[in-house]
Amino acid sequence: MTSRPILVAFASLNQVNAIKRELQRRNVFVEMIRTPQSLAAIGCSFALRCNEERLSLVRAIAEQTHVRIDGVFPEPEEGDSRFYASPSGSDEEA
Amino acid sequence: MIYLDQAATSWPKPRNVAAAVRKTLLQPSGNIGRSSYKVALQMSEVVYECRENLARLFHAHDPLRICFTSNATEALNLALRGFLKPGDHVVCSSMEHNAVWRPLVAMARRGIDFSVAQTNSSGILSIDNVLSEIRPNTRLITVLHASNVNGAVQPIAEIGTAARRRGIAFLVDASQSAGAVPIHVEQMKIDLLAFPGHKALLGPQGTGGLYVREGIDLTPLREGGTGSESQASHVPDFMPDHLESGTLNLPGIAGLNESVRFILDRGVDAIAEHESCLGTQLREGLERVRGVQLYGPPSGSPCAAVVSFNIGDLDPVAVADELDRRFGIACRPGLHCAWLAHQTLGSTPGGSVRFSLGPFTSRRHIQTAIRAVRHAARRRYP
Repeated sequence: MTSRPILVAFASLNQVNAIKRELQRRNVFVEMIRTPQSLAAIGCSFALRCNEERLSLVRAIAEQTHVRIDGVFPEPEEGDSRFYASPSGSDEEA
Repeated sequence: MIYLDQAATSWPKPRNVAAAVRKTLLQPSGNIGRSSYKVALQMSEVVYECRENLARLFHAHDPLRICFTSNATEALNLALRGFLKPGDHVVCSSMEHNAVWRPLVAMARRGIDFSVAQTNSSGILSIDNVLSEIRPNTRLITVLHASNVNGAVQPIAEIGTAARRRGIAFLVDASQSAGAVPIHVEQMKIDLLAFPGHKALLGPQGTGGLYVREGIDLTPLREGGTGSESQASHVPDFMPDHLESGTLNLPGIAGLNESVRFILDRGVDAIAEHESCLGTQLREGLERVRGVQLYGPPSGSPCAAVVSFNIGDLDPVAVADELDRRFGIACRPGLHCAWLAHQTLGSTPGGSVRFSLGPFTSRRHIQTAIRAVRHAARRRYP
């Protein structure tokens, strides 16, 4: 299984924190970031940055906590840089 | 000073509270939900941790159902004004604080009726008196959990169960009970729980909150920036953003997080037991002072550590002043923003002298307070 980094976007930082804490309880540690405007069609979104293999767990927790995922985006391979290209569309529900 | 005014605001606070407030003010914390640099994201974790700790304290399943307010009054106004619509009817108790009574009176002018379920003369509500006030259009029952005047604790679980069975929402004003009396929102069938951060939760002033059960929809009191869905012309429909427009009191919430953590570590049951023992000691001591009239519930009734009394016809303000000047006792005389409750207890128009205790109150404080009241009473009853 490939393990590329992805961004899972949520509408609110409160929601991101809720999911992050649930992941921590399962010993999964992920990073929170502001969703780049070039990726998110919606304003002021925040995202969890994790490996793709964690996506099913994130989805399960989001469902349990009644939090909607706004989008899942592959992170462009730019080395340490975090510059994002223009939106190529979400892999996920919008 | 002997501080017996915990029902107005608690003091002292646990040590870590001031440290957390100080840290938030002295170090950059950003503004959560707006900025996304490291410290702003770290601060958002503190705020979420506070929601989690509050949810744990109240046995609420979902921390996102807790929104922050600046005090319990704001939380109560949000619950009442956000939930009720013209044509609705509300039942409250005759022990309510002005934070509920005044909004209800104001809302009655725009077609939201309310009825007052009478308590007994000790301030304790019976379920029958609540049920007898219910009408076909009753949409909400609101009850003060523990009285800020005499500590009477209402049968919340019983009222909540009756309300849920009838499809009526149940709002609990936990201004005196949150942190001092065990609260279980699921078991007690509480739909809305309003609480201050600065009283028995031992946090800073300017903090408070409202628990909103899933399925209860409130219209926000404020609309504005939430740091989410900024492209939309309306506030988000999800909690807590729906009710939290504007910048939160981050230093206050950081302090509240520490105080709630302290309470969780110590245990609400242990705090309640400590305060109950001291409250009993105080009531029994005051009962033996000639001329003292107590307004508390009968011994053995559920009661928070709030004790109200008068010495004959002495002005309660003059008594409190004497206790302060001669004994360094800080307490609150008067009506305690609760005219309705004082009417119920028969202590209008002057009100009473109120001692209210906390987790840091000691037996020595109680002994000194009883001695001081005895001294004050001797002037009137030599």
